[in-house]
Amino acid sequence: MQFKKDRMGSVERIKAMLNRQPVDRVPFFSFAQGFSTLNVGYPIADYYRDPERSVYALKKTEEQYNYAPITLYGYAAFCAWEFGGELKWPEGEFSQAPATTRYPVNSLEEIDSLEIPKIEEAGGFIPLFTQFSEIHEKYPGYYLIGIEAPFVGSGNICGVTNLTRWIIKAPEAVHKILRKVTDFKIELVRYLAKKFGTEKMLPWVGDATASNVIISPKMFQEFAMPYTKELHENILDAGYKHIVAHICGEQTKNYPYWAQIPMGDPGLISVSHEVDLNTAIKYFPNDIILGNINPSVIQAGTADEVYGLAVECLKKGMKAPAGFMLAPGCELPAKAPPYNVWTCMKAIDDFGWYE
Amino acid sequence: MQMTDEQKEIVKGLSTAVIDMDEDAIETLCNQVIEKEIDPNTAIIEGLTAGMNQVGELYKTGEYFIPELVVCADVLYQGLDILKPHLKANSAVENRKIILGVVEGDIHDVGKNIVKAMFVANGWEVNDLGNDVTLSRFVEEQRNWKADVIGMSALMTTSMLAIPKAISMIRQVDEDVIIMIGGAPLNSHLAKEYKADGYAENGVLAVEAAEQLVRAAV
Repeated sequence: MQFKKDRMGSVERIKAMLNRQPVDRVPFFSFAQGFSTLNVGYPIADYYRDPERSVYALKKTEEQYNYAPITLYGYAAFCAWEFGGELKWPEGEFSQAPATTRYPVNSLEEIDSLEIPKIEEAGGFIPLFTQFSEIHEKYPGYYLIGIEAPFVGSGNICGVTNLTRWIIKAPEAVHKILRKVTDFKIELVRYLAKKFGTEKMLPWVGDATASNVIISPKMFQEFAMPYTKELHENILDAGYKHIVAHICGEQTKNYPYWAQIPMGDPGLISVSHEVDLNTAIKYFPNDIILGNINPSVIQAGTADEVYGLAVECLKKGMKAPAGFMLAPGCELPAKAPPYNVWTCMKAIDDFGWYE
Repeated sequence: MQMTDEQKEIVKGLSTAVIDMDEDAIETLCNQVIEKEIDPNTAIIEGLTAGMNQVGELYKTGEYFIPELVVCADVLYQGLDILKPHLKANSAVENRKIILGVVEGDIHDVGKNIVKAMFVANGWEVNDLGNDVTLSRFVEEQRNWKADVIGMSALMTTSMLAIPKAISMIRQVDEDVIIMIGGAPLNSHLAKEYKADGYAENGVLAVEAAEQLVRAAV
């Protein structure tokens, strides 16, 4: 079957949304990572460790599905490797993303001696971010680099169990880690802005560890919000116009605090499936809303179920005053049935056109 | 033997110390249990377990979150370390067995660790295989250890695909073991589809569900 003819080019559409101008239809933000590399015949691990293959896979998959030209490069475990920990690539049958095998900090005593890596000399993903950006700058469209929030980064430094334990037993130690991680991330965004400019790259700031399944809104207010706010202020100071915030997991009670963090003009808010899109629209009336099809359904559900969820998202999301992109609530499952992914585009074709 | 008022206060204090995350108090109180010759089994069940179950309730009602649960579990383990060596040989604190693990490809074990604490608190013997556990390891452990329940978790959409495969492999060596699953991308519908016996949304609910399933199987 053939979809209706687009009245705007895919880059033109995103550019218009970022400039607060009307568009022809809702775009699909794919949140595709390992799905893309598998789609073109490469292993999932290549999305992370091989920027050349990663960009190739992302752009080809984007072309195939006609989804929004906003490719994402990053990983949730960011900071562990860069601060001296160890990581393993997702090479196993059931692996999805790089996993930390040794944390840089394993005791309170190690925190003071934790050194902030110098960006230009840093290892880990920093050279990969640079390589990805260099390659992607040659392509049309936008790309996101996974800066991630300081709170999730701190969990990657000492492990989430220690992070949560120390919130109660040694809060000052948690603040010390947060300080170092925030400083590192601020330096990183300044470096990237200087090296690649701020036109095509949008910083991606996700925070799964701040979910209310893990911490309370009060803890979010004390430990997560101030550092994320500081990071965002510095991102905007560095010249970026838009930040993509992935508010990962059930964070309904954190939304009033997220709303106090500057997101750019407009920012882009990636909403997890656990949160009602109306909540996101309420707290972010001036920002573009992305979301929020349950990824688990995209992978394990039927095409009809995916279509139903997509239509429901479109009906709510298209009321967002600053615009809406249909998207999975979190990473597009690497092994999602391609037909289910295509179904999201079908839902846009049926219900995602603006008058 | 009936406890004296003083002994009752000590046992109640154990419960409060777990809820209040009070490491100093738990040590003092556990030593008092031994000095005052309180039955350690009673102290564990009416003190530590009762406290941890109350912590579970506080989590369910949104008063406690993972940070509190982690520290409460630390206090629980601290108390158990002191009291367990004093249990009489025939005291049946641990009469049910569970194997726990995060499946291959996944290292997210915060939830699993809370599940573990809740089962330990409720007198289960727990064989914690950790995270990124190969599917064959679950099978091997069940063959050797013969648990009543196996609890598996996954937090990612790719690693959740290991669960139906693991269930099928485990069933080949033990058709009757109760298999429970949990983790963010899973739900009761998928548990049925994967042929698991049960699903729990969090560690607190997992114990209640497991005990129901064990009772139903008897």
